[in-house]
Amino acid sequence: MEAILRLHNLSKSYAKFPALKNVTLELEPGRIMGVLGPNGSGKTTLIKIVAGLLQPSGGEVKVCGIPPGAQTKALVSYLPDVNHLPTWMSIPGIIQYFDTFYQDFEPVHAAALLERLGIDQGRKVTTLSRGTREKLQLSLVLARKGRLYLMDELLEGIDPIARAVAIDTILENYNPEGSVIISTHLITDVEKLLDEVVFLKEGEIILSGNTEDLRVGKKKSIEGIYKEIFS
Amino acid sequence: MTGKLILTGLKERLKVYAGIVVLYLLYAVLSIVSDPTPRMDKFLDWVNWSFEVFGVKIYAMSFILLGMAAAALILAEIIILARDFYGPQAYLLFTLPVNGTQVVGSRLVLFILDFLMLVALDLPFRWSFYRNLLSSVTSVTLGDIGSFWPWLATSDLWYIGILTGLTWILILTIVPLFAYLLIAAAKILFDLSAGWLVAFVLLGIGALTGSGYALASAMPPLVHLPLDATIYEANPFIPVLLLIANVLIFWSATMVIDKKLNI
Repeated sequence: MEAILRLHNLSKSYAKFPALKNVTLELEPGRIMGVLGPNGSGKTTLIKIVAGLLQPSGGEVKVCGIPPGAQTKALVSYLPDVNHLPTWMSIPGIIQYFDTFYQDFEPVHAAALLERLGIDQGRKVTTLSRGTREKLQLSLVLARKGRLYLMDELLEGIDPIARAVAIDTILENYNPEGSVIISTHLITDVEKLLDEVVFLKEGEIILSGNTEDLRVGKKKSIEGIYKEIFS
Repeated sequence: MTGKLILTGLKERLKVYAGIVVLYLLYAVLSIVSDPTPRMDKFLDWVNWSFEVFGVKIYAMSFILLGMAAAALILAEIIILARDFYGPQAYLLFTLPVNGTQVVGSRLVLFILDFLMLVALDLPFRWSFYRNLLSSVTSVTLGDIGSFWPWLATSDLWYIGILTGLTWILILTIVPLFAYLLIAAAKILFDLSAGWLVAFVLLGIGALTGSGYALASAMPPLVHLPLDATIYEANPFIPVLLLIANVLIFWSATMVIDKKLNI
């Protein structure tokens, strides 16, 4: 089976500062991978390179066998760490916008997700709180039948109760033929989602593997392993 | 995809367009009510804020209106460009499944629509100015737009052709080149890899060459053409060659940016 994502010796430097060093990994279809690490460990850089927003300084990136570009952007459903939606638009306007540009977007599915997450669909983006905007972005991302979902700083602005609903929503709604990469600091919340984890420290993978194997091997939760590595 | 980007862009600019049209409608009403010259223009004439171009009096009010409309459009374009390429919304634009040519193509059409709207709104108010301007750059001695053909000399046709060509060169090449320059600058700031400099330098050369030749070509006829001239000595191949050169620069820059920016 062809890997959804393949990174080989991926490196990235900002001027003299290395952000990623020889990162190599593969992600099979149907898997959810957590990219974990403290601030400045290279998580966002990694996700942006895969999304095609940044150029690597070295190494190879392939999404469904294709280097990042206009073609892969039709396959990748990206949730950035900031609000990237035009604030002047209404929610139905944004749904229409996504429907216009993404062939795999399902407007009916988006409306159902918004309802589930308790978002009033008659409002404009500018009137939404930070958490509600995040939930709106999450709904739009999940309403695509993407091959690869990239979620940067997932759920950071969402309250704990809504977070649990959002996590269930992700589990039930992502395309099962696709894969998911999640970067977050809320490890306890997302732990049950993850099939695989990658721990990044100063741009290098210091530990990676199957979540269950790591838990059994280390006799700790993923959060426990995280604390052991980074504290 | 270019069409979709244009439609979205039009929606965004709708409020600015509507504001400008309303402003012109108000001015039209004012013009009708205080025929033949609006009171404001009379006042501005009295304070000596009107001037003459090709023997036609340009009233300050209509000129100010045009200036305001142009400024509003330019400001709107700058805000939209800065937001699209520098703000968080850049994520949305750069993650759409579109390529660079489609992004720039759509912006190009929107710039042209801005320009056409300004001309369309301004034309009824200053028809005599446009008419005389056209007459003065054609056969000034004959000068009548109603008798356009066959009294136009071949040189006049060349001159009109050159002016039209230059206008379109400006619209079609320099504007997108500058837009691309801004995108490249934005990406250099976001993403400090040295490889971007290739695109940046290439675009800079393209933009400077384009501006330079457009100014150089446009200035002599505007400055030195005597009002009674019927012959304008110009080599028609120069603008054609320059157009080809700039198209080549534009497309090579597009290719580099597409490859580098993945948009």
